[in-house]
Amino acid sequence: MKAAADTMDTDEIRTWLINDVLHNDAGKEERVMRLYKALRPLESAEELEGELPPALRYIGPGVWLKAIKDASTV
Amino acid sequence: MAMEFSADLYALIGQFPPSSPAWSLADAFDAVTNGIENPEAMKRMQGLDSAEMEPWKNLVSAIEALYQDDPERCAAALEHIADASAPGSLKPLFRACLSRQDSSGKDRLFTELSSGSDAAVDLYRRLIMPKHPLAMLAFQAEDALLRGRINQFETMAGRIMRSLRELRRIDGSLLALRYGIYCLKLLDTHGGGGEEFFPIVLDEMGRADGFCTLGLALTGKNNEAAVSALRASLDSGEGLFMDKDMRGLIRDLVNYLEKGLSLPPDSGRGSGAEPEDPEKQKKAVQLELF
Repeated sequence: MKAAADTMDTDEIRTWLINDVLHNDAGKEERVMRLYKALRPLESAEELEGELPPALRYIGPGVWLKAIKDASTV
Repeated sequence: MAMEFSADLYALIGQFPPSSPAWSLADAFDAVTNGIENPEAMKRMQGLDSAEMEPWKNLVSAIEALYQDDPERCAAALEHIADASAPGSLKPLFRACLSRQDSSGKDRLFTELSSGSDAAVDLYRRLIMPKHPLAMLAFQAEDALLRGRINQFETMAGRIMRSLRELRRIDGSLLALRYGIYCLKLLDTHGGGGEEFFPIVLDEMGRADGFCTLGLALTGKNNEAAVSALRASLDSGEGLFMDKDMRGLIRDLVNYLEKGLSLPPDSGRGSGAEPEDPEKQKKAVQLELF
């Protein structure tokens, strides 16, 4: 990739996002946070794993029904 | 008089005549918990008109929606399950599964689980895969890259980005974009360049989100190239990440970066002006970047 043509780094850009954009328009909070996160890249595959929601496996009806029965007999 | 709810589904169904749609509820329950499609049973089950079976019908719908990663439909089905009913005991489990796993979501997940019965907690443990399949694929992709199999890495990374975008319990398009940036960084570090990967990013993410991924990967490192890629993203219409709101913010970012670069201000490109020919645009950005 080409060498950087300027010195404005991501820290400075994130500061601009919070101090200028968000400060001037609190209604932009959600989108500012999205961009803020997007400017903070993942550091590892482990970090990706931490961001994922739980993955579910199929376990058949018996386990579900047993859990309902057990919960109801407590 | 308060209604009594049975915890034994099959005993309940046994009270209905064989021609009753109650029997299709058992088939529907079997189907949704095994990942089998049985639209006939699902449809017939909806014809069941029994207050006693109502929570069970909604439990089947909630389980189906949960596996289909449809949090809104799952939450709607849960609303119709009375807390005092037998299936109502599993509501904390559903809420735990629907929780986001960000820093605050993790807290919420544990809060939900702690409000459930031991049986619900045990079911949750059996239901959740110890490792997310996409995380496993990401580890395998990285391993392929470390072994010099760049094509394999790029293909797998593309699949991961596509799957991440389909996740609805979290902001899948944001995570896909962050993973795309991570992959570009990995390729840069391991000498892959990224020239072959960029078209994959565009294919899997779409032009708006794909160019945005590239632009944000370059932001703070090569702001001139970042501006080019972000302009291309703005000229590509809306994406999943680049929705109407984000387009406005990315436009602000482009203007901010341009000020730092002392470039002529964006006089129309990326601001709703007539987009350039997409192929020309792609080549121009690629030439500038690599």
